[in-house]
Amino acid sequence: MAAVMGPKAHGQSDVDTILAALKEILVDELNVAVPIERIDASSSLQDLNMDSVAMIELISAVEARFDFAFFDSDLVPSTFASLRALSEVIAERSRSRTQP
Amino acid sequence: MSTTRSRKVFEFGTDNYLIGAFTDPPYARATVGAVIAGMGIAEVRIARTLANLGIVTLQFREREEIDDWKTAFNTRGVDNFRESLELLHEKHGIERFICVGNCGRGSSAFRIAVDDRRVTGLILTNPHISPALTIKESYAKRLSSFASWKQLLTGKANLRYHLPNVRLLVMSLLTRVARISEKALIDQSGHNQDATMPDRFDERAAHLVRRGAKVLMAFSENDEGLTYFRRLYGQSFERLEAMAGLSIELLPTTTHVPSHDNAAVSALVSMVDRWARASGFVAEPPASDSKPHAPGLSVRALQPAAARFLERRSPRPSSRPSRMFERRADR
Repeated sequence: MAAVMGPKAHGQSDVDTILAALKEILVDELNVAVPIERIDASSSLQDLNMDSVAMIELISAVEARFDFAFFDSDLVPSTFASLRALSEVIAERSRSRTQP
Repeated sequence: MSTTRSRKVFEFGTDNYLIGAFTDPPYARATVGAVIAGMGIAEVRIARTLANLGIVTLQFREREEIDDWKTAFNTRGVDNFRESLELLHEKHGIERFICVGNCGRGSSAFRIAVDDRRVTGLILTNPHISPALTIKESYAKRLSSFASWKQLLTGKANLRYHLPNVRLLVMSLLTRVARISEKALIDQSGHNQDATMPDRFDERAAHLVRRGAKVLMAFSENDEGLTYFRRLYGQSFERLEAMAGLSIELLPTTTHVPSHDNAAVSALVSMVDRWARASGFVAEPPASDSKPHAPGLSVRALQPAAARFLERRSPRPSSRPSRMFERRADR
């Protein structure tokens, strides 16, 4: 895995790092049939031809990779509107996990 | 913060026709199980909400389904619920169930509840008492809509989507002329009866609640199913008022599929949480076993399922929205 999220995730660079990790998950674990170079921050799950089963797999893979559980309130359609939106939620959860 | 996590999906049922995903309660022993048809965001949230109350949940979907709402009318809806109940019983020893479904899947959930006394809870979102009459309501609105006519005249209407409905409307007219029943219409229209509420909904619902079942019906505002339901049972459902055990609530959205709308998802899970607590489905965590657990069920993992679905479905240009989203745009 090229991108590893540490416990001190902060700011834009962390969102970019998470985005890179998300692309790896999509390509390596979920075998999304879109070349990695065509996946960008604005890609939605629909752009990646992902259905609801793949979305559940993505949730499960993200929780395993980043070692947290989404807040229930995170699981709304807007979180999955783009990979950037999803990355921002993951960054937020990583931050709240490390704050005392 | 949620204490539950979604688990990997797996295949099950006859010929592995179904895809499932368990969501476990944060403590070990659940006595109530929920079978949830569908895997959209709303269903994931319902699964987690119920799991946090101590209810083990199984979400399922048909293997060949591609989030296209029309396929809901071509499925073996009641059998799917039956097989899912049996899996929960087999793997978790569950004897009390809640069944959950949207639209036609809600009708299948209602039918299995009528058939199987182990089903003591029902959550139905936008159930259609009558698809035929609901479609008539929908097209009556479209006929007076400038946007619909513009869509048709500029060639942007999805005729493949509309043709079966037009066929059903024509048949509806014929049944009126020939004075045959709506049931016969549904039989002939290609709509699966599993996706249709049975005749005499109110009598059957009354029977369910008399035997102790709790029912939550949630309608999106302005949903055609709601319009027709109000016509049958009153603007405030007053003709169903005497039915203790039946709760009817409105979702703050016009979207037929709650998964499409943040506010609808949030409102729905709040309703489900309140309803499950009020209905006595909440399991108290055992004092000696309050730690989260990870049950090791022997179900065949499906990873990487996404790739297999995509292989079946390709080629589909990534720029083309799914039918589900086209439908949302229609509304």
